[in-house]
Amino acid sequence: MSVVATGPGGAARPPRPPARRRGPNRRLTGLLFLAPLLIVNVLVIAGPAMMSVAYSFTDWDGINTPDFVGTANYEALAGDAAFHRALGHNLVWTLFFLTVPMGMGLLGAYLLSRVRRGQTLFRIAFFIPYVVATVVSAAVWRQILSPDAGLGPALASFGVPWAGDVNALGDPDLALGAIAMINNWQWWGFLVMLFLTAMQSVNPSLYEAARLDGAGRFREFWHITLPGIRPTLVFLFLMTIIWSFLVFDFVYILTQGGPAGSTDMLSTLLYRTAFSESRAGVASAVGVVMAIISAITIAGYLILRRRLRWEV
Amino acid sequence: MPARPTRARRAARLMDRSRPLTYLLLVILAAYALGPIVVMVFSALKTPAELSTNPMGLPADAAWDNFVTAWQNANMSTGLVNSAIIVSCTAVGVCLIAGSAAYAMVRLDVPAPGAITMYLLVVTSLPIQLFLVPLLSWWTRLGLYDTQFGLIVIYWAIYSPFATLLLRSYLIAIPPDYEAAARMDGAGELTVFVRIVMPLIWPGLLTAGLVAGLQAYNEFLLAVTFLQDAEALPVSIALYSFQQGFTVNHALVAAAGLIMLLPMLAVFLVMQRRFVSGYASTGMAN
Amino acid sequence: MTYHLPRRDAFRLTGGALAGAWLLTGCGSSGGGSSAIDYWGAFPTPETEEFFRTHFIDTFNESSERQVKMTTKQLTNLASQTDTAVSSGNAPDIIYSPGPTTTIGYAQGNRTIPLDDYADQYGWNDRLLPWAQQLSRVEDSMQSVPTSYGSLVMYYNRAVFEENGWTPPTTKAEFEALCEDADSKGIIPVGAGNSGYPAQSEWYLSCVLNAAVGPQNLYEILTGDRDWNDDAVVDALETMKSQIDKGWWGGGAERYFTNTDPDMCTGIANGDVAMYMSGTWSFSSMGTFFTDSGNDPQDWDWAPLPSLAEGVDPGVYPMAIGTALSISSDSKDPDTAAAFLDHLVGDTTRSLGYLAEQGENPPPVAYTAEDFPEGIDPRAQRLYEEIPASDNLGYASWTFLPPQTNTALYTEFDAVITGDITPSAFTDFLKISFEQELGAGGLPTPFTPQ
Repeated sequence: MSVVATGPGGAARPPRPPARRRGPNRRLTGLLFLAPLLIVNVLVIAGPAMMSVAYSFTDWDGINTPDFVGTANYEALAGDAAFHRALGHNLVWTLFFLTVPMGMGLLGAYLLSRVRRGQTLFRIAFFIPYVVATVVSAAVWRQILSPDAGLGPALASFGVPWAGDVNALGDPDLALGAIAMINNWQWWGFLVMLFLTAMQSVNPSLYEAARLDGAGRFREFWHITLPGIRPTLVFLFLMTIIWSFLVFDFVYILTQGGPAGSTDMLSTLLYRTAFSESRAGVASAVGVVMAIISAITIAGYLILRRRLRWEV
Repeated sequence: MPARPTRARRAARLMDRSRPLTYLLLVILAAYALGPIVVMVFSALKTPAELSTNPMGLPADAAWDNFVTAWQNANMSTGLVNSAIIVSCTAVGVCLIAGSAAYAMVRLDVPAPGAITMYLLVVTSLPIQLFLVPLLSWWTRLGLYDTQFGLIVIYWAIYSPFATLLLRSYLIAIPPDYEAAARMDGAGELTVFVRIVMPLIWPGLLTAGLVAGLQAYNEFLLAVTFLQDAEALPVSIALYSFQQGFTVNHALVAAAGLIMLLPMLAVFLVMQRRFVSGYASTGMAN
Repeated sequence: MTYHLPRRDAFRLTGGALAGAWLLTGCGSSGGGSSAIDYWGAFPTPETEEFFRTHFIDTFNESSERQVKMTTKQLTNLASQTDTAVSSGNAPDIIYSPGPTTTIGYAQGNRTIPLDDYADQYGWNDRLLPWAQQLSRVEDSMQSVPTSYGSLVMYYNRAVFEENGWTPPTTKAEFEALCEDADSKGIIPVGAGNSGYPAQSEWYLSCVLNAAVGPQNLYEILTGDRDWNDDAVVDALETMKSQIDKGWWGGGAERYFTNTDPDMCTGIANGDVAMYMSGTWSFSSMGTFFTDSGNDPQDWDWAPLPSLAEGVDPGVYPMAIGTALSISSDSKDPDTAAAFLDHLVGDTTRSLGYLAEQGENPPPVAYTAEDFPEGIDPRAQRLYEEIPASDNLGYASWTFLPPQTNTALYTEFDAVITGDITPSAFTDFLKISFEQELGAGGLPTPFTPQ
C-alpha cells in the first residue's frame, strides 16, 4: 500500500522553504501582488460597511439624521422572536447545504472524472441550472410545485394519491425544505464543476499506482481523491457556511419569508426591516450580527487549521 | 488536446470496469438537472393564462412570438452588448486580481497571511444591503456612479475574494518545483507568475473567471442601483421588465431567460475545450 | 542571485487592466445632460411607457425651455431604488413615492421642498380632492402632489354571474349566500392569495377592515381614539378567518400561500373564482386575462365592496394613493420640476386620455361626465365619476398606516391564516406597533369620514 503511505497530501508536497523567500524586497513584491485585491475591497466593501456598523448604534430610518441609541438595536434583536426564528432557519439551511449539495457535488464530480465519452455533455447538463438566472428558475419551480397543476397532481393521477395534497411552498412545515431543495438544484452542479477542477489537479500517477496495487473504487476515492482535493473541500465547506447565512435570492423571490414566517431568514428580515419598515439602524444591526456569526465560524476554522496543521 | 502518453490510455481502459453503473448515475443526475429546464422551455411558449392553468405540460399552441416580444420589450440587444462588456471586464479583472493575490498568499512573503484570509472571508460574509447606501454616496463623490466602469469595480471587489481563496486552494495542491526552477534561472516574479503559475492553474483561472462572469451576468440589484442610463444597463434587467398588473408575465420571463442562457452556454462550450486537465497537460505528473 | 522586483510590471498588469476597462466602458455610458430635470418612471407595459413619453414628457419638452429627462425603472423596485437614492443623496429632481408615508419620511428629513407657493401658483388646492390634499401635507405644508389614485373594488365575471343567477352582493347576508352557493358548485367564492407578492394580503385586509369595521371606526383607530384590538376589528378578522377555514378565500389556508394575483384574475375569467376584491390598478390588465384564456374581455366588471357587518353602509371605497411626487431639495431647478408636476395633474384631458388609452389611474381630481373622452371604458369612467360623488370613502392600509404597522398587518396575518395566532392576539400585536409609531409622530393625516 505504498500509495496510501505517501500521505494525505495527494499531490506529493515537498518542504516549503524554497518556494517562499523572505526579506524586505520579497515582502514588497508580495504586497504588490496583493494590492489590487485589497484596494478594491476596502474601497467597495470594508469602508462603506464600517459606516453601516456605526449606523447600527443609531435609530436611523434611512433618511433623517440618525441619533445615537447605544446598543438598543442589539438588545431589541436579542429579545425578538422573529430574529431567533430567522437565525434558526439559517442554521437548518447551513446543515442542509453542508450535506446534500456537497454529497451530490462530490458524487457528480467523481463520476465525471471517471468517464471520457460524454463528459462534456454531462458537465454542461449539470451546470445549466447554475447559469439560469434565479428569477427564472424560481418561476419554473413555482410551476412545478403548484398544488393545482404541478408535479403533485400529475403524480396523483398516476396513482400516488398523497402527492396531490402536497403544497410544498404553501405549507409552513414544508416551505423551508422546498426552497432548500430548489436552491440545491441550482447549486450542486456548481460544486461539481469546482470539485472536478480540483480533482483534475490530483497527480494521475497516484491513481495508476493505486490501481496497480489493486485498490478498489471506494478506497481510491477515500485515500487519493478526497485528500487530493482537501484544500478545495475544506474551503467550500467554509464558504457554504458563510453563504448559508447570506441566502436571500430564492427565499425572497419564492416566499419573502412566508408563509407565516416559516422561511424567514436573517437576510429577508434585514431587507424587510430596512425597506418596508424604514428601520435602517436595526437592519444594520442584523447585518452586523450576520457578519459576527460568520467571523466566529471563520475564527474556529483558522484555529482548527493551525491545530491540525492543514495546508489550507 | 496534447498527445497523451500510453499511461493515460491504460488508465482509460481501467476505467471501463464500472461503466454501466457510472453512466446510469450520471443520467439520473442529468435528468434531475434538466427536467426543470424542459419545463422552462415549455413555459416560454405559453400565454400567461395557459401558464396559470397548465404550468407543466406541453404548450397547446407554441407562442413563438414570446421570444420576439421579450427581445423587443426589454431591449435585449442593447442589454446583451452591455452585458458582454461588463461581464468580460469583470471576469478578466477578477482573474488578474485574484490570481496575483492567490499567488502572493501562497508563494510570496506577505505579512499576516492568516489575517488576510480572515479578512477576505469576513468581507464575503457581509450582506450587500449592509454597505449599499454608503457605497452609493461614495461612488457619487468619486464620479463612478452611473458608469459601467464603476459597476465593474464593484464586481471586482465583490467577486474577487471567493476567486482568490479558490485559486489559493488550487495553488496549494500544486508543488512549487517548477517555479523554483524558473527562479533559479533568474526569472522575475511576474515572469514566473505569467509563464509558469498561470498555465499551471489554468483550469482554476477559467473556473474563477467563469464563476465571476456568471454572477455578474445574472446580477441585478447593484446594476440597477449604480446605473441610471437605460442605454448602459445589462441584460439581466430584462427579467424584471415584464410587469403585468401587480405581478409578472412569467412566460416572457422564461423566454428572456432562455435568450440569456444561450450566450453563456456558448461561452461555456468554448471554454470547455480549454478545461484540459491542467496538471496532466503540463507534464508535471512525471 | 538577485530577484528583480517586478514593480513596474505589476503596475502595468493591474494598471493596464484598469485602463483597458476605462477605455471599454468609459465611452459606453454618457453622463446625461446636467441641465435637464430627472424623472424616474415605471410602467406596466411598453405601450404605456410609450404613451406617457409621447403625451407627457414630449409635450412638456416642446412647450418648455427647460427639459425633463425620463429614466425608466421597473414597477417592482422603483420604490426601493428611490429610497436608496434619496438615502445616499442621489435623488432625482422629482422624487417618486408609493404613498404619503414615504413622502412624510422624506419631508421630515428635509429631502423634499415645500410646494405651497407652487400650489398657489398652479391652483393645485382648488383642483385636488380635499382628502388627497390633506394627505399631501406634512406639518401644514404641502410636500407632494398625488398623481394617481384608485380604490379597492370587487371584480366579477358578468357571464358567470348570469349563468348562476347571481347579482353583486351588497350586504353581509347576500355575500355569504353567494359564497355558500359558489362553494357548493366547486367555485372558489372569493379570490385570495399572496404568493409572489406577500403584501397582497393588505388588499384583502383593507377590504375587510373597511367593509366590516367601517370608515368611522377606522378613522378613530387611525387617530388613536380607538384601539386596534377593539371588538369590531377582532370580530371582523374572526369572521374572515372562519371563512378562510371554510375554503371561501382563495380555496383555503394552504392554497392562499400559493395563489398569485394572475391566478385569481385568470380564475375570474375562467369562472373558477366568483369574486375578487382587488385594486383598480387591475382595470388595465383584467381584459388581457379574459382574452388570453379565450373569454370575452367585455365580461369582466366590478362592483363596490359589499357591507360585511351590521351598521356599515355598503359600497365603501377605500382610498389609495398610487403615486405621489415631490421635488428634491437638491434640485437645481425646482421651478421646472413644479411646472412638470402641474403638467401631470393640471390637464384633465391629458389625465383622462391616459386612463382611456392605457387604463392608468388618474390624479385625485373631481371629474364630471363630460370630462371623459370618447371611447373610454365605461367601467373605468363609472369609478372615477362615482368616487368624487360618494360620501362613503374609506382607508387603504398602505396609504394611511405607518410603515411598521402596515408591514406587520400583512406579514403577521399569515400566522392568523395558519392558526398559529388568534385574530385577537394579532390585533394586540398591531396595537403595540401602532402605538409606538403614533407616539413617534409623522403619520399621514386621515380625512374625516362623512
